[in-house]
Amino acid sequence: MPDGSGHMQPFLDQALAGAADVPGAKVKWLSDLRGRGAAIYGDRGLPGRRDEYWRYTNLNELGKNDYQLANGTAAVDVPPLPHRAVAELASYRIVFVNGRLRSDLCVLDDMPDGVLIAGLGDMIAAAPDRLQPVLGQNLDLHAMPLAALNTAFMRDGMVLFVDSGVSLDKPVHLVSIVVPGDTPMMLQPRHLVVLGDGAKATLIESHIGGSDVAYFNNLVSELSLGERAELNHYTFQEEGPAAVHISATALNLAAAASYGGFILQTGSSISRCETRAILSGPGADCRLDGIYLGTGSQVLDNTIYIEHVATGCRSRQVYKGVLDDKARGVFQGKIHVRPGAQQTDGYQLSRALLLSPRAEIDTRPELEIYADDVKCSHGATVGELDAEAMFYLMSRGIAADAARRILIEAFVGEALSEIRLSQVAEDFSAHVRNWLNTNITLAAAE
Amino acid sequence: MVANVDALEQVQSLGEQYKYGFVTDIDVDLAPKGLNEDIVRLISEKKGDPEWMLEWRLKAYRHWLTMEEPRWQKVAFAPIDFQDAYYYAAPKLSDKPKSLDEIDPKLLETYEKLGIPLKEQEVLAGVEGAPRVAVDAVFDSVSVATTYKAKLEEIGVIFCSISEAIKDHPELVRKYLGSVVPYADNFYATLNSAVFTDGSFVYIPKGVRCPMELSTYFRINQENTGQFERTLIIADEGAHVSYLEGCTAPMRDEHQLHAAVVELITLDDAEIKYSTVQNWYPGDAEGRGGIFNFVTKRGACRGRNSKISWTQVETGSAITWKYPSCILQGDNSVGEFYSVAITNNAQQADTGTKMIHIGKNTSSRIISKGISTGRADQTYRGLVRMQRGAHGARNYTQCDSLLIGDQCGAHTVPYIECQNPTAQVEHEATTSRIGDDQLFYCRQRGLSNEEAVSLIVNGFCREVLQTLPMEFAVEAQKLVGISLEGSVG
Repeated sequence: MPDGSGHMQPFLDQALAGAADVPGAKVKWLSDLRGRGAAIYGDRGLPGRRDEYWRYTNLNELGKNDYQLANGTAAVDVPPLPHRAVAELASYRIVFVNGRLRSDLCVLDDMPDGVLIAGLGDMIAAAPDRLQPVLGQNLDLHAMPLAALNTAFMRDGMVLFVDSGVSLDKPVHLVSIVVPGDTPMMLQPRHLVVLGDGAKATLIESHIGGSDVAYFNNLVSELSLGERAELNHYTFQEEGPAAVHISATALNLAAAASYGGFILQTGSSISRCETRAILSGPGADCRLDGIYLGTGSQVLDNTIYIEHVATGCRSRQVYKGVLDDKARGVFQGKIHVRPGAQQTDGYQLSRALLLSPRAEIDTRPELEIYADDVKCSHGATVGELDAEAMFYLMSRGIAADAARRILIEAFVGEALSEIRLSQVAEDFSAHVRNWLNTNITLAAAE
Repeated sequence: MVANVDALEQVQSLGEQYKYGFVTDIDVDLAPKGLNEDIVRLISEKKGDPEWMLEWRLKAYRHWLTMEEPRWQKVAFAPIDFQDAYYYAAPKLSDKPKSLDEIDPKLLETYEKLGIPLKEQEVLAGVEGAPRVAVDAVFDSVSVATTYKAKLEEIGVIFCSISEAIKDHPELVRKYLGSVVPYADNFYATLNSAVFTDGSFVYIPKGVRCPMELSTYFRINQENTGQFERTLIIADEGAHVSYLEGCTAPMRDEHQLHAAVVELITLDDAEIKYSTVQNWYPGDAEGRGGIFNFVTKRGACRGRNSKISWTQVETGSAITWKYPSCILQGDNSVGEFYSVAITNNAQQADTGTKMIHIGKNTSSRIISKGISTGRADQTYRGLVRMQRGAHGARNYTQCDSLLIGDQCGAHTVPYIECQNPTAQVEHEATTSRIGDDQLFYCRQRGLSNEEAVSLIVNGFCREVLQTLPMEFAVEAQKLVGISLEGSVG
């Protein structure tokens, strides 16, 4: 339904239709926040090619299916978790099936004092006041129209609060499983992570979906780190092959806080992982790395916006992409240094490998700098596998497909070596190897 | 830190150093103010256009009316009132002068003051034994003189104003005009296509290496006028030419628009080297006045093994907004872009290049050096696109920004699109300031602070300045000094 200016606003009617009887509809600040999301999304509509930050990722596909909000009540069988090492890892596990919390699958026993892990829906019902100071506070809805759409819904998701000075003893594992029915469904999960001053936590996210039925997972995570807080955040994006996965992460770092994020993307037909980080306190450290492996006609988008507001902050991104067949990769990274954010150290590297003559990569590393005492740089490379390295391996009796796998594994290995949690690193590597064994075969090498 | 504060003050004390800000008092033939179809017809009539040319202009004008001004650029300015400007201003000449002696002495004097001698025996000031340079002098809307024309004609090189070319070589102009920058290309190029008044035309025939530098010197003099020139350079098979462009304008409180279009075409094995030293009036320290330099420059490497090389030194203009580009169609063709952009006070620049790789084994190289100081804002914006068929194509890009002072901005927005796995693209960008340790090192060896800044900045730009033809390199180095360091030379 295009409006006067030609914008499409699919799904808005679903949000508005349910607005009166969703949990928390009577809580004024919450319904105002939802209303604001609906208004902004209604105004902006679905981003199109004319939106500068969406020019490489076309969402027209979304208009073609009649996605209906998953009601989450149907009991479905849950597939086993694909990550062996992480699955065996002792962790607090919170599981969502089709966007709704499944308490029966969660493992949340013996939480230390000062730690709260709960479903957003339950929190809205039980203690909305605890959410009010933090929910929707770090999110620039105008910059992220789909996060505005998510805000218009806001029914369920994970809430993780870690009080000041508390270090979580085990990682938190957030599992999102989609088991679609016969018709295309839509999920609008909303996650909230707040770490008090000096708090420490590790968060692992797995997004899994197995079926060929189309679904649309539009998630938003708000992460807020107090002074000296530390968060390590690892994400597996393995949505189903017909899925559209749009993830928006808003990150706010207070003084001397430290964030380390890593995203491995292999799933979905269209995926965009967007992170907007604000380094608001002096000495904050933000690290975002990622690997994306694409084949078929996948579109894998990685968009990053780092805003240096305070002095002496450090940000670093290393992204590696491998694109086969007709896959298209997108890397957009922007470092924005505000006036006065002196002694900023910003670094960005994007490297992509094209394995097929039909693959494509679009890269845009961007710097916007308003302070002079800064050290900012970015690098980007695109190319194919080094012919000499291939020759070297093949002359030693290694078959072409194996040689390709070895070289690609080495190429992405640089990014993997940064991961601190060994179980996660192990699963990431296993996942990469599995992808290579499936996709880089002799037949594909021809 | 102290050293840096000093440097900043020196840099900021500048701005009143623009030495080309005088006005020549000369009788002018002005078209009525404003823009409409009659003005387009009038310009066409004044230029004595053939029918096809008028049709082309009108087609462009009608298309322009349907277009919207672009808004994506990272420069800010008050909306331009296109009806509040003159689109044609020509110094009154009794007749088209037959030789240089018949040109109004005031004009000759103007060019002399600018350091551009229009007498053929002379060479550019200050460089002894420099090779000769043929000059096309464009004053407001028209070309007033072209030197060495006869000499060039002997070897078949055509170097004249574009209006003459339209009359004398219509077959060449019709074939190539608008073939690289079509009339509907973008808002300002379309405007230019409708109202362009003059500019230079160069044709280098097969196998000829042009024996001298060709150059055009643009001067805006008249108040309230826009300058719309059109340059078309064609290098036929195996030809080679080096072309220089310079520009200045008087100091005025209001902004003036300069919307030019430059088209370059190289056929098999041909090479064009296009150098610009842009020194339009930048406006005063508060940002009053100055030229809006909104230019479309594009070259097409049509032939195999052809090469187009852009070098620009951008120190003037209140706003610079241009992307000299290369379309690398021919196999093995080469595109180059070397740029130094300096913005001071309230100047803004959004500049860069586009390299479109279409042919096999094409290669391109981009070196961009931006220096921002005062309250200036500067953006490098560039596109490197490797199309499906660009097997074995290569690109190397390096963008460095230098910030002096904490009030200025420097931005880098590269777009890299690659559709061919055998293509290789490398991009690097850095942002830094003049290091205290660098200054300390220089001062420790007895250089004054001013000299040290000048030395470091010139070193920073060296890679680009080196690519300029020798006589321009000297000029450009001086210009870098003037734009930045005031009395420091």
